[in-house]
This record gives sequence, structure tokens and C-alpha cells, in this order.
Amino acid sequence: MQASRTVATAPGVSDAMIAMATELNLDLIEDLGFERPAGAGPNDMVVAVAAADRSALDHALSLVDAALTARAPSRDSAGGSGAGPASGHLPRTVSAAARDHPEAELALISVPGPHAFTEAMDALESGLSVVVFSDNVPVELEIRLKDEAAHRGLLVMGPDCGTASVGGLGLGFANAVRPGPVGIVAASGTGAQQLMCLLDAAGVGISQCLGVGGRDLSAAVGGRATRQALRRLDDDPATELIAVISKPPDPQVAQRLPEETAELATPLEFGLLEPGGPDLTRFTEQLLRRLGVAVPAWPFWAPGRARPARPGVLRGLYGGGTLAAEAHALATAALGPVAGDDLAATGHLVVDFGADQFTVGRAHPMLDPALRNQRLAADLADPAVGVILLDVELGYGVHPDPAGELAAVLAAAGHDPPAVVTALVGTLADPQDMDGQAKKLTDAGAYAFASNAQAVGHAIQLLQAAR
Amino acid sequence: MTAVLTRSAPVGGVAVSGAASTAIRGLVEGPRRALTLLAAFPSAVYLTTGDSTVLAAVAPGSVRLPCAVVMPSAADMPDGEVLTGESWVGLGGLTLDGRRVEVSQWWRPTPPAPPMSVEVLARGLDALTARLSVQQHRLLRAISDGLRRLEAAVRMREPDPAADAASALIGLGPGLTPSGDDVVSGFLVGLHHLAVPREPTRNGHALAAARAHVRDRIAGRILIEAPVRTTTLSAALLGHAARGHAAAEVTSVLNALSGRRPLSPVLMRLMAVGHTSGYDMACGILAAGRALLGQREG
Repeated sequence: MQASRTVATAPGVSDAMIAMATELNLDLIEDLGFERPAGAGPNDMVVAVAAADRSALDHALSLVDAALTARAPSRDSAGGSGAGPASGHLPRTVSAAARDHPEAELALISVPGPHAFTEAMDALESGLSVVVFSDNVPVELEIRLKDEAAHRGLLVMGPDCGTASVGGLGLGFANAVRPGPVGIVAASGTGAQQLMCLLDAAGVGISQCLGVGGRDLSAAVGGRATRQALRRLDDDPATELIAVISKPPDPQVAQRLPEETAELATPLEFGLLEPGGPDLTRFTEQLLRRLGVAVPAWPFWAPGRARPARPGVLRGLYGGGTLAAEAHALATAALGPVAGDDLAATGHLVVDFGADQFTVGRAHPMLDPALRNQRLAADLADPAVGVILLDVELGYGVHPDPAGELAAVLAAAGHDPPAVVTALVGTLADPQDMDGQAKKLTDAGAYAFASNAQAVGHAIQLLQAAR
Repeated sequence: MTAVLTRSAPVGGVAVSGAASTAIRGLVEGPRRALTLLAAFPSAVYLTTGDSTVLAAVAPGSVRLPCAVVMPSAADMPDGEVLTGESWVGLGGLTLDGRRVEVSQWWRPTPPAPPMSVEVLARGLDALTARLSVQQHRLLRAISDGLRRLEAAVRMREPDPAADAASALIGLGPGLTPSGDDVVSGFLVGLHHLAVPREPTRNGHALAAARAHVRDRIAGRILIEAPVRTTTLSAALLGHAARGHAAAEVTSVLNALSGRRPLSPVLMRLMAVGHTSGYDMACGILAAGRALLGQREG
């Protein structure tokens, strides 16, 4: 304690010691010529001051009081509210920020793709794991980042990491999910959101969700970040079951995974979106059964006045890539050939408006739905269209009222529009108010399903019933 | 299709949850045990179950002791220096002054055992020596002498002299955790985690075994003596150090010594712990690292 020094150097004081009354400290005090205080134990504080006279002693004791009641400047007043260090300068680089905030363990990089590598490498060299929200990062640079991270025992999440939950903090597009035992490694943003939201609806929470970027299980990247993330979750005492989900992976990389993860102590479930594999909803149910939790009836909301089904083609207009891929796979299995991402197609079609070619110079459709809304209006007026499938994602970081936006487009549709089915991905704790969002959709005549697979299934049923 | 499922009532937002060290998982998830106040500061409240067990409820951003529960926000810290409502730990959380915090996140109070070569450790210790030499703190003479004896005994792999030297530091010096205790804590945690990879030789195995034997002898003595020789809080923290558990501020310095992240920022953060506790622990870590290097040379 600095109190001892302050008092010992006060005028008229020849010796001072302020310490807890442990045996050794009492010995020291005795050695200094003080009387041993009777009845003092290790949890008492002893103040020993040798002073020239009474006034020097009083002054010294007042210094003791002041020293013991002084409050250290709090972190908040030192600029802890994100304002940078006490000097008032804002850091200009990631490494400068890391120096100012040595408690930080993670950097979030959201800059245009060509610059993301430089910033992410700066973070890794400062000892920080990185979330790369940016897309359009070349795959060779992604590999270099992930190798550097593995060398340093760090983790690179991304590039194009849309959602993550680390240490209870949501990053990117994040749903308000309850804490719990499931840890997720996701090479898929909306896939992770679907999984977390369904688990939440079943009363099961998550420990962490580590996004690794949609390309991580490709042949080129070879699961570099997935292996790091798995090790991290295996080390996380709050994680009791690990779920790995991915957009369709490279078959050889997928084949190697079980062998590479054999040494992990935490049980593992793979939900890789492969032909013939389970969809996200069935995978969630598989997890619940493994946890011994009853599989609930997944929530859905039907419109008060459902539009009569009419024959025609299916149009899936998605903002979420993995949800689009899932819809494409399920629709193809039921309806035959379905076009993907070809806006000129005249038959069945499922488009991912979040794909790179639609987001250059434009925000992701989960933030800015203008492009999709435009296409939706056109399809609503197209007599060849039987059913329109849409996804609506709730949570932090996305549009504040996505259902309201869609409802406005639906309300503007002309006479006898096609049926509309939506996948409503969110939780009751999300800021948009899930039930309120569902009501806006059903009031506009649309169905809403918490499960994307069930939404697709319902759309197919409507088409087949009208045939 | 006309059915509209109604869902159960909203859960009322995200559950109020805290994070805790796995070193106190048994305490947090065990049966209900009443807590009494040991000491209260604006950013940390120390509580005890009455035996030598101590639990710290700390505000976010303050020192993450190995016996800490990090509260969801500074607003969840008790206002006064006296607890008026009921306070207990167990059944998965902490009730402090009548307010309940469920623990849903955990961290391990041990560094993730980074691989380290002799060269990397030597470089790290040089950097640590240089940075400690420019600090304005100094150890009390009696403590620096004691630490030198401890370092020498460990370097010579002499269990009893090492335990004696550590014992002579317990309860010595200023502070709610006396300075000598902090030095020994840093030393013990350093011995646990700074071990360089074992040489694949017979001599290497023997060396590792001897090293563990010395460490365990010191730890055993500390576990027995600390509860009667020093403050309750300090004894509890020494107990954690004897098992290799430390605050995040300490483990990040150990990590930096492995060359994985820059030393300066994490050392600055350790220096900010307590009045002199951070400096004292850093001195202990340095002595432990030097003793381990000396063992290899000798």
C-alpha cells in the first residue's frame, strides 16, 4: 500500500507502517520499536506511526484516513466508454487500439474487402482474434490470415462472417438468444441464426457461436478456422455440446473432419448441408434429442384470411444465403429443376440477394431490402407465379422493422396476388418484437414460420394442392 | 389451414447472467451456502462462506480473480459497505443483497499452456526484467531477500529449503494481500505455467519430475500455513495460486512471455492491480522463470 510511504515521509514522522496484522508484520512492527497490539489478527489492519509530537501524529493519521478512503480513478472516468485512452487521442490503427485497451481480446473488422486483410493481420499481430465482417476478401489472403492465427493460437472468424456470439456478446447480425450449453461453429451466417433461434424457441441456449466464414470448409481453405474454433469451444467450460454447421462443404474436407476432431472431449454434431443430409430444422431436432429436450411444435402464424392457392411457379426471394440454399435443395427435391440466382429464369427460382454479385456497392438485403422489394413487387404482379417464399431475419444489426417493409409491398399488390410464405427467423427477446412482426405479416395475408424448412414445405404443399 | 399457435409468454428479455471462474464452479453449482462480507470496494466485494473459502463479486472490467463472479453490470454491485439483504451462493448463481445473478458463462483461470522454447522464455524474461526495472515500486528488502532465497532453492531443486523460503514470505508486508503473499502467488503460478517443453531424454523426464516435486512441496506448505498466517482473502488467493489458478491479468502476462502477444500492454494492466499487488506478482513470475531457466543450465 502506498499509504505507508505517504505517512512515513510526512513531516515529524520518523517511522510508519500500515499493514495487515499478520504474524510477520507484527514482528516487523516490534522490530521497529512499537508495542505489539493485543488481540490483533490477520484480518485487522495495524497502523504504527512514530512521530515527534502530537500534532505531527494527528497530521500523519489524517493522511492515513485520506489514503485509505481515496478512490482510484475509475476506468469509466478514464475514458472507458469507448472514447479511447485518457490522453484523449483516438487510436488510428487496430494495433494502437490494442495497446490502449490491453484487456481486449477480439477485433471486429468491417471495411471494404480489399482493405480487410491489412487490418485483420494488424489485429492478429497485436494478439487479437478477429471477426472479419467484410466480404470480397480473396481466398489466398483468407488462408494466410487463418495460418497466422493458428500459429498464434488465435481465431479468424470470416471473411463474410455475418453473425457471431463470443463471451455473451453478439457480433454482426445477432439474435437475442438465451445463454446455454450449445456451442456453434458456423460456416454459414443465417444457418447459425436459424439454429440459434429454433434452439431458443425450444428453451435451449447457446454458449458461443463462432462464425468461420462460408468458405472455410471449401477445398482451398480446408477447415482451417473450423479446427481452431472447435478447439476453442472444447476449451470453453460452458459448452457441453458442439454443433458444426456449414453451407455445402467440399466432400473431402467434410470427410476428414470427424477424424481431425477425434481428440476433442466435448461431444460433437455435424449439420453439413449436403445432398441427402438433414435440413437445419431436422438438425436442430437431432441436437435437442441428444440433449434430452422435447422437440416442440415449431411456431407458425397463419393469416386470418388465407389467399386461395393458385397454380404457378415458385419464387424464393431470400436475403440469407444458407436459407436460400436450404430452400433450393428442398424445392428441387419436391418440384424438379429450380433455377438459382438467375433473375431472368421463367420457371421455379430461388435467389440469394445477399450473394456477392448483389452486394457490390450496396448494403446487405438484411439492412437494405430495396432490391428484393423491387423483385417482390414484380413477382406479385406476375400471373405465372403461384407462391412466393421470403425470409425475414430479426435481431440486432438488421432492419428495425423488416416485416413492416414487406407488408407495405404486399399491401400494394394488385388484385388476386400469389400466396406468400415467410420464414421468420428471430427470438421473442429480439428488439423488433417477434409476435408483432408475425402479426404484420399475417395481416398482410402472408404465412410466417419459425422454421425455414417448414416454410418451404408449406409453399410446396400450396403449389401441389393448386395443381 | 386456420390454426394460429400461441406461444408462451415472453421471457422478459435476456436473462440477467454473470460469468465466473471454473475454480469456483463447485461453489456456484453446489448447495446453498450463506455468505458474509469480508471487504467491500467500489469495484469488488469479497465474501466468505465462513471457512477459508472466499468469493469475489466484481464489476465488469475489474480484476478477474480466480475466485470471481463478474456481475452483469456495475449497477448490479451492492451500493453500501454493508449487506442488508440476504446473500448466498449456490444452485447455479449468486444472490447478493437479495439480488440474483445466474452464472451462465465460465472462464478458466489458467493460461492455455502455450508451447515455449528456452530461447523464447529467456527473451520474455529479459523484456520483463527491463520493464520492471523502470517501475517506481520496489520490493521491501526483507521480501526481495526472501524471494532470492526461494528462487535459488528452486533452481537447485531443493524442496524443503524452497518451502521454507516461501513460508517465510507469507503474511509479510503491506496490503490487504500482503506483498510477500503476492510475490509467492506470482512465483507459484509462474512455476505452473512457464515450464519449457520437456526434453525427450531420460534426464529431461527426471528434471520435469524434480521440478514438479519442488513446486508441489511449496504449494503443500502454503495450503497448510496460509489460512493461519495471513488475511482470509490472501490465503484464499494463495490457495488458488498453489493450484496454478490466477487472475486474467496474470495469465495474460504468462501468455505474453510465450511470445504470442506483446508484453508491454498486458504488463501495464497487471501493474494496475491493487496498489503494489501487480508489481509484486510480476516479480514472483520473473523469479520463477529465472529459476526454471537456471535449472536447465544447471
